[in-house]
Amino acid sequence: METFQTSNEYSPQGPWAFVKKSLTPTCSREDAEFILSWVAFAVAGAWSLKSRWLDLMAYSNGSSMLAQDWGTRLSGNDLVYFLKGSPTITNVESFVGPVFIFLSLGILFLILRNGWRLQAHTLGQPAHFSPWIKGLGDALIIGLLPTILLGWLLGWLGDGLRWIGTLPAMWVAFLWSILLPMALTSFWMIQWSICRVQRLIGPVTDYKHHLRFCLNAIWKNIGSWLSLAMISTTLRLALSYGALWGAWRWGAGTSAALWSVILIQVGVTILNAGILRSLLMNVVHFLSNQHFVLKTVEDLKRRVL
Amino acid sequence: MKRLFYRLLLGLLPFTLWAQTSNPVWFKTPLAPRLANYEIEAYVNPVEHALKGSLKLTWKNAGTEATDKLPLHLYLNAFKGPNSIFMQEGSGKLRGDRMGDDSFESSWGYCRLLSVTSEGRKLSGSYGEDESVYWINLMQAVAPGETLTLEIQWESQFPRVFARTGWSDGFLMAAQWFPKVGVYQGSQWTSDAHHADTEFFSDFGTYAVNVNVPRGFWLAHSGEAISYIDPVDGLKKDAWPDPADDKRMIYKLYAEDIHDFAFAMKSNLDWKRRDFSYRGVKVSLFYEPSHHLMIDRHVAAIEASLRLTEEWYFKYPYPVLTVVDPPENASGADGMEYPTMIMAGTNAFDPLKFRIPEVVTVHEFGHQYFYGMLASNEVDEPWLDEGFTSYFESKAMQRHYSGLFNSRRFQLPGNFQSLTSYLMTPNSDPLTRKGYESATYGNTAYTKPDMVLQQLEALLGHTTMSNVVTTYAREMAFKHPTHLDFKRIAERISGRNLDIFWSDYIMGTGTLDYQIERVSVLSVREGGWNINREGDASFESIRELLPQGRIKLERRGDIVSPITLWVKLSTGEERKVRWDGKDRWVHFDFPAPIVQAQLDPDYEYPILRDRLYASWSPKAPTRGIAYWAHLVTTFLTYCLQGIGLL
Repeated sequence: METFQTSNEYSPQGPWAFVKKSLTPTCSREDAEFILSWVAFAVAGAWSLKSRWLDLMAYSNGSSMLAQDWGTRLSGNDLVYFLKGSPTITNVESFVGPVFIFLSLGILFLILRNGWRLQAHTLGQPAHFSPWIKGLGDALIIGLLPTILLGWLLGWLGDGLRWIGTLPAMWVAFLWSILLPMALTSFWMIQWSICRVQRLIGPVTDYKHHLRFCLNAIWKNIGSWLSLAMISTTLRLALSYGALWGAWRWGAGTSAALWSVILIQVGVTILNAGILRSLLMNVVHFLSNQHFVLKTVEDLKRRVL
Repeated sequence: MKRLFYRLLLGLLPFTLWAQTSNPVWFKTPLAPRLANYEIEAYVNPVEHALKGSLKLTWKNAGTEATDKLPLHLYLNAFKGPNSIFMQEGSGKLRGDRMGDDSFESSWGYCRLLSVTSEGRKLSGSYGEDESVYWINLMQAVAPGETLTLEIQWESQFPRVFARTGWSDGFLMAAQWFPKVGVYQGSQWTSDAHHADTEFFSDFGTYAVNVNVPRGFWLAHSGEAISYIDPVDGLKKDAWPDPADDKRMIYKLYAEDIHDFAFAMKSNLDWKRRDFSYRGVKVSLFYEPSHHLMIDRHVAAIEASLRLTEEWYFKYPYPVLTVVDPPENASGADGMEYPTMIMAGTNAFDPLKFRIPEVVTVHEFGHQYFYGMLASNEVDEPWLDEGFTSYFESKAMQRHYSGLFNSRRFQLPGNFQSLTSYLMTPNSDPLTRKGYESATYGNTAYTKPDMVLQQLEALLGHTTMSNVVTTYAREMAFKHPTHLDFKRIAERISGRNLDIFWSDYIMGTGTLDYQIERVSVLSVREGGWNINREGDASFESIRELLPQGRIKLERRGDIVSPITLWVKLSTGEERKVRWDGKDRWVHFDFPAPIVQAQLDPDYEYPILRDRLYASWSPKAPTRGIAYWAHLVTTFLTYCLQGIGLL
């Protein structure tokens, strides 16, 4: 017989309890917008870079042929001729072009906003800008230093592996040096997500209490959040590496190969966006559960007293 | 107290010659004129980063006139203080390397002459351009063919490792550590001060060097160690026991036909060593224990270098080669060459297999020829050692490794570094500019000469150029060649007059820069009033004929060379035309519109500055660009998704 004590519904649960629920797509407009904004970033970015580079090669009603073999093979020397030959390339900005920079920054902002709208929509709240930006400040205050310290501690693991000096240990240390900063950034992003969602769920009347609650929300479940961040980052990196490896193998010797590369790129971008979406939803479900339990306990206390 | 200790020590030094052993004979017939021969006793104090020494210099006047002065290089005085020429020119920096904190005494160094005597009589002298050169006044002039013997006592204080020499924790790199005589040619001494960029120049000779160090240190060194059979265990050892101090030992080293001598030392508990033989050369490789994964790559690079130099120039004649991988905090010592010894350098792990350790090893080994044996003046003509070595390095990296980096879609060719650097400053100083007078030393000494030699190869053909360089290396080894020797040999072997090439590329600052400036379609029409012989006028309607193609080429650089243009016409016909390049621009017309054009299609000019606008097509090559644009943004997207941007 299920009782208050044994029911999962009435007990505070860690983030892993909500993974399945978070992974279930809701097919809402917000879901689609979040995922499509990632696709837009990848595709529109590539389109603007391509246009810029074609412009740099264009002259006299035509174009240089320097890039004619680049689909199968790019020589570093060609790249240098391209970079040094074009009179308009003076720095990175002029190389990638203002369109790429503004477009990418604009879509990045859209991605962040759409993630926020997705969370707000799930909670049935309007996605105001204020909790989002204030939550960022909260996360910087309470999350940055502990995350850096955590990174410093975990970084020692990699150093230890390097000290062993064997080839497998070196490889693991190398992969760890890529994974760790990414997973820790992801971990800090979760902190930001918690801070802003917490601000959305209840107005902040006592700022210290708000910060303490947000800090506890992540650090009382440090193992779960860290493992979630690590595993999801590993998954995203594995998918990304697979897509890049495939693109590298196929090249663009034919139009079909190029389109395959683009389709795989888009596919993996969608999958990764889905994983990120599940993290956003996980934070929402986790905090909703925390508040539900707290509210139930308070109600019970009120009834008993 | 320290001085007193050294004085006492100095008194003891002659007694350390307690057991003279017979030196090995490397060459029955000397390879080089042995003009500067050294017998050196050195006592190293690794705690103080100091060395006390005495040497006997036997110098022969090979000039055409007598000399009553003799210059000694005291290179370590470049690190004596901020007012040396070296420090003034370089401000404590050298090619990305910085000297240690200059507020610490231990960051600085010096070389102090204690006495110079000849036949028991003390000689006086004075400093030259700065304290890195000391001119000795001889008691009497040394006539051509005569030999002079000097006995010199000195002390060296090493700086914190910087610009090739010095200490770092338990590691000591002793380079330019003893007073060294200049080079006397004709009636003139060459003995430049130690400049920030330039390197060295000295005469060949024999070196018998005893280095006294504390027990437990390994010495990596020029020359060969005379081994010692330990009567206790019967084992052959590199170092001899010091009879005066059982806590110290003596390395007895010997070399013939070299012009400098260096050594590095470190505790044998914290240093690894691998010995192997390849093509009759005994190679000793000293490396950091943490770098053990990379050592096979060093070995392969050394073997490839020995093999390729034998194939391209001549067999490495010395019986030994020492390769040192200095510690990471002694990077100021790496990437340097000494006779029979090179400073390589690597890292612990290189997952992407960029051939950086190989490049350094191959380059420094190349210097065994273009510096070690050819021994050109590195101050006056640095391109003859650095440029030729860079050319060797580019070719060796391409031949043995197919480039600096190889992957399925992206490659870095062997000459990538040279091309990149050259294109940054294509109109740098003439190659013949003195090193310390050049504002573009790195480019003028290393990369531009590599490109120029590649250009010469394209001009003469691969086989002829191979013959030229082989002949130059063989004929000029041990003879201090100049660029005129190389020109003479190149002209003799190729049978061509290279005056224009020399004035354009070696002595000049111009660039070879052509481009396709414009491609257009000319409409061709006919008709109009026609007046015949009888004076009758008739009007024919204006009509369009098949259009023609026109291309305008432009010479933007100062170097004038004939260049080939290849075009493909809309009719499918392909044509090649040659432009002498004498004017600044030219038009070529073709009977049909042009659909593709390329300048220098046969790659006659590796040094051509602009290949972006050296080709033209009405249709942009979209697919390759789209591919790379997608790869770049995919990578960026995945990085952002990797960090979990929420």
